[in-house]
Amino acid sequence: MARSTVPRAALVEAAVAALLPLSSHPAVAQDLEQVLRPRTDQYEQVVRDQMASAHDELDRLQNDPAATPSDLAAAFGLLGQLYLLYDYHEPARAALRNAEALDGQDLRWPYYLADLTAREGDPETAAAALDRVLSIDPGNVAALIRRGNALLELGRLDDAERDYSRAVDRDPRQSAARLGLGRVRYERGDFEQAIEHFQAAIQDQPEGSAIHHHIGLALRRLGRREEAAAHFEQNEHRLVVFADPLKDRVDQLNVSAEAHYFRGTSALRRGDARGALDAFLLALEAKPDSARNVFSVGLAQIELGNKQAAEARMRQAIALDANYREPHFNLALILAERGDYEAAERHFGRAAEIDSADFEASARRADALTRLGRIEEAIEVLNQVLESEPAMPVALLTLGAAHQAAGRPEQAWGRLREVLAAAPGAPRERAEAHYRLAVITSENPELAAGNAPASEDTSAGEDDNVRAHLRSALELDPGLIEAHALLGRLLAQQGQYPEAASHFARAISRNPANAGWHRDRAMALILGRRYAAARGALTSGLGALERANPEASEAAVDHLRILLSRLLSTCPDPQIRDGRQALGIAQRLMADRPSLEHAETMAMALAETGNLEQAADIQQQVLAEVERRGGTPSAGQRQRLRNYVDGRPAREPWFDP
Amino acid sequence: MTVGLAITGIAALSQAHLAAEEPQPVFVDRAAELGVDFAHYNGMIGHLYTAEHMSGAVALFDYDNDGDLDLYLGQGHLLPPPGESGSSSADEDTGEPPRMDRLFRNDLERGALHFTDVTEESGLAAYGYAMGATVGDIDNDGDPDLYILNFGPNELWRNDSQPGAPRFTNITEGSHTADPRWSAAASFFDLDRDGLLDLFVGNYVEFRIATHKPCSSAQGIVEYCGPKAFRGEANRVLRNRGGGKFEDWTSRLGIADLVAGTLGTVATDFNGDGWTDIYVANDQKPNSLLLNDGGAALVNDAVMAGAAVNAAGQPEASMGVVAQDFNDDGLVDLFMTHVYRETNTLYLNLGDGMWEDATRGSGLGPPSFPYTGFGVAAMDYDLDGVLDLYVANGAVTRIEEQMRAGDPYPLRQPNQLFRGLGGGRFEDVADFEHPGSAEVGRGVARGDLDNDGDPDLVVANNMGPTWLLMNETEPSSSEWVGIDLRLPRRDVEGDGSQNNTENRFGRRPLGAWVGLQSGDQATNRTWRRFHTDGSYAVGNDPRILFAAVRAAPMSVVVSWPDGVRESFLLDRPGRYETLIRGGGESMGSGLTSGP
Repeated sequence: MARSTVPRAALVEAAVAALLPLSSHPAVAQDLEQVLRPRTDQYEQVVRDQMASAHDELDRLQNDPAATPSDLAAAFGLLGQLYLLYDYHEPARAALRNAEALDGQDLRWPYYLADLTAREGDPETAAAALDRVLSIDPGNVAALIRRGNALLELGRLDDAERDYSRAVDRDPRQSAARLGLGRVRYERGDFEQAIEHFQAAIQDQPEGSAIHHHIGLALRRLGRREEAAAHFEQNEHRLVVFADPLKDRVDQLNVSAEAHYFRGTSALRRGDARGALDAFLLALEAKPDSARNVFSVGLAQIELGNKQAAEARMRQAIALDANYREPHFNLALILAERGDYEAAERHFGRAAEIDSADFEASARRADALTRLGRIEEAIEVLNQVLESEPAMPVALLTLGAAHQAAGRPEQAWGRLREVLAAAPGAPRERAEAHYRLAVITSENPELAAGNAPASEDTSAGEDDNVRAHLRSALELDPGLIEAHALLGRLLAQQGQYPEAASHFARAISRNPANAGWHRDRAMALILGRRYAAARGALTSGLGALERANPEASEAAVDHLRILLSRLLSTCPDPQIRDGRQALGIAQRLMADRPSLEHAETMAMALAETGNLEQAADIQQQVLAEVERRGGTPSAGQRQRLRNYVDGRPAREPWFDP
Repeated sequence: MTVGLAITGIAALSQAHLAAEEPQPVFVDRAAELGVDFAHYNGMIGHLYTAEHMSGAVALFDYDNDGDLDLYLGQGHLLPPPGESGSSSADEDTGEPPRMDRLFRNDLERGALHFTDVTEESGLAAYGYAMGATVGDIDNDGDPDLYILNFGPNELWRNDSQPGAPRFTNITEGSHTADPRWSAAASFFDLDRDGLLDLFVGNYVEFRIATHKPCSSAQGIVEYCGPKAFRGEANRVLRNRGGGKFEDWTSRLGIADLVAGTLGTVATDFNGDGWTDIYVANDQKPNSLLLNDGGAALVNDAVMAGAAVNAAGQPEASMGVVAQDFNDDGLVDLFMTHVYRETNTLYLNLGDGMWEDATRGSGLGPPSFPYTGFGVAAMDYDLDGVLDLYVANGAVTRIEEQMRAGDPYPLRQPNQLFRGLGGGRFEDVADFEHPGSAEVGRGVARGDLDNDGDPDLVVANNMGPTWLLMNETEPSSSEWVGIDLRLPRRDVEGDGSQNNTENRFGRRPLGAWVGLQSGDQATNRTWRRFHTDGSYAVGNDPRILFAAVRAAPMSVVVSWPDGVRESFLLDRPGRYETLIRGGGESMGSGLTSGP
């Protein structure tokens, strides 16, 4: 039994008002219900304007003797839609009833009344309203589904099944109706058939993940528990939707900043950053002084990778509300990412100051302090955090990193192991802890051997432990590029070149600006005798550096050029060799920055292009210069000279693997 | 004249007829006449803090072991403006004495049902912003201790009362139980079967006044924020080490990542393995069923068990929760209260570790749709032998109609009573309570305040008066029996305290089940859970009331929390019996899904 929550005085006022004839309009044959006007002083201005305009239009028509019942119905209907949209049920109900009384052939009004009563948990009245809709348009699929749902709720399984079936007849790929048919079968205990319907529903609407819940329930009833568990796991609580044009029309009427904001957050949740940005910009337009709206725009820009614009928005949000934690925190994240730890530390600090219980901001501030070399300050902050939150993964991790940076590997080791023990739900922190443990293990094998927990294989070699930590790190966070790079180096050292190259490739895909990783990848490919891939990696690496890191050091870029030139000169695979291109690169290197290394590269290219005499001459000069500087030429350098003198280009490895 | 007389006569007859038909309220608020003059204060200053409308703490517990229920009521205080840290009281700025929680002694056993405020003499100086409370005997000395859940650090108060001398000692600091987060629910249970009650603390969300930002409704009106505006807080399991000390076992048990916005908890053996499990009701997140793996781990099986989400596969707002056998099939069921536009939800136990949303057809769904339910009491108010449900309602976003009427706190909704019809079906009962006016209902504690054999209720209204709803049903002395359970005195935990050595019994075995023979067949039993937890934010009377009992002798089976069963024969109805473990006839063990 629904009881009114309206105070008695208000109820009386409403009851009296409802008895009054609304209008003496000649077109209105019957008394209509009074539509009470809610207080609108707290609404956003755009909403107030919208509602006032709808009321004004109704008033105008009521005073217009030429207005037809249909005109009046449309005006009441619009008002009803607005009240429905803005969640004011009583005025919505009165307006929609009036609209239906004035124009009984317009199915929108009973449709919206059905929506209203269904929202109020009254399936019986909803079903009755939908009867009227379907008497006007018997094939309205959305109405059939809605009435099916109401009837199912009322336990009228046969009637519900009839409506769902009619909906499927009209639209065989109608997931909502299929789901309804499955639920009817489930209620009857026919679990096999229920599953069939559910499967059909999910096939046509895989994003309606809640169907997996229904499949799981039915499988569970059949004793197929493992299959059920697999389906339950896939339920991400997204409901099945169906095309509902009349409902959409109402939603589109919402002009409030809040509606735009909600649309933005919904878009963000479903991963549509572009849609989110558009919606947040509309919200900002409606409410330009809202720090939250500004911040939300920035957030969407972060998601879109436009950090520069996001930074500006965060600063703007802070200017509007200096005590708003989120923009400080997010601005700090942006600043930290681009290496401005000094500013990041300030903003993390401000976020933590605004909310003294914001331990994450404190922990990240400590991370910035560590990177600034203010390690003891960082440790002090982290100890304070850990006093309140002893198992906080990010604080334990940062403390481990601080000790590591301070050259106290033993203390770092202990804290990092605590991260692994304390944080089953913090994959990123655990991943980084594994990575750091790998680094510490590789640098301090004796420490790792002495401190290995019982679960770890102490007989395993140092490299095995390092590798195990790195693999664990990447399982938890495949985006941890430092772990990819370190694992790549380790694998390359162990002669596992293809796998090493693949890890370098993954590191590069996340950060194409790192010249060292391009070089390491190319080397792994060359050593693995995948010359074509190596040539591609070097060419694309040079392009990537040019785009992503125009300020990359000359030495780093030169190193890639040297590798490319030498590969093109000396590769055992004739398909890869290209003496002319190699020579061009080498000449440019020599012209820009003459060096022994560049000279030797030039000799290789000259030999490949048939200028063996010139190559021998240059190689001779290189050897002499090495000796003049007090060094000893390598075996490879001597061998190459002999080759040139004997009239053969270099084919031997030109570096020590 | 004759005609006139006739008309008058008809009118008089009609009046008499109407008077005879007018339903008498089942529950009548007698708080004022019984000495409980308590109005909750939530400290709101117009910023619509989420925490301010959620509080409503009550505990019914017999702190002085004199056989009647005493009353604890949690209080709020003025909240600081946004930007200031914490929830600390600003009451001093008003010049008024700081508000504090209150303790009332029930004087029933001294002669008459009346409550006397003993806060000051008890030493229970609790000034935190109380959100909830739970009760359990942490030191096995036979008297119940009190754990107060705050918006801010929680408090553990050890009961050191002596006969006629209430005394509570704050042992929060030494016991390591001061979880600083917003806690809303907790359950005492013996996690590892070491004989000491451990504590599961359900924490809610990361709402902080310092960072408060208003939320907005679809119309752009500033509104209270819902749970989705915040990150959830992690729950915590505190293992009782003895000596009044607890240690955090959350990570060790594998639930450090259980972060879901908890508002309700109930502890009992859900899978019949002799280890007490926990069901956790989470706001807008899937609920958790934490199965106790031998005291070494808590494993969430809610999804597979079918108790995580509703029939549509959706998480709901789960505030209050009760675990009882609602369809008398000997299996433990669950009932949860939810927000406006969600139904309250009944999960019936199908056996074999499976629950299913059985709300449709239960009579509980549509009537609850317009309301936001918080506290809930499962009890047999009309003494017909079938469990009924009382739900305290109160909105979480402001109701436009009430705003329009100028109500400064427009969250009021009427409470509801659902009469059990048997078989897990209920009907909505109208006009069941006085005063009948709508308040912002939050905690509901169930207990027999006057020991007359029918359940009474205490309703904590947020920013409103506390109601003592006395059940006006008059049970016949031959129709009911009450059961209290105790462990033997030998289980007392030596914590250095010399208090309460006079108690005859040990602690109460929370999470046990009691089955009363309900037909001719010995196997035909009505089972009820023995607990203080559940509902929302409250501590309940653990005693079990059975109504509509058969003539004596009555056969009772107790399933203790470790699964061991004993049978008892009761020879007199119309009174409370205390059953002590070891005092009955052993029946071995072997449980399935609850009782």
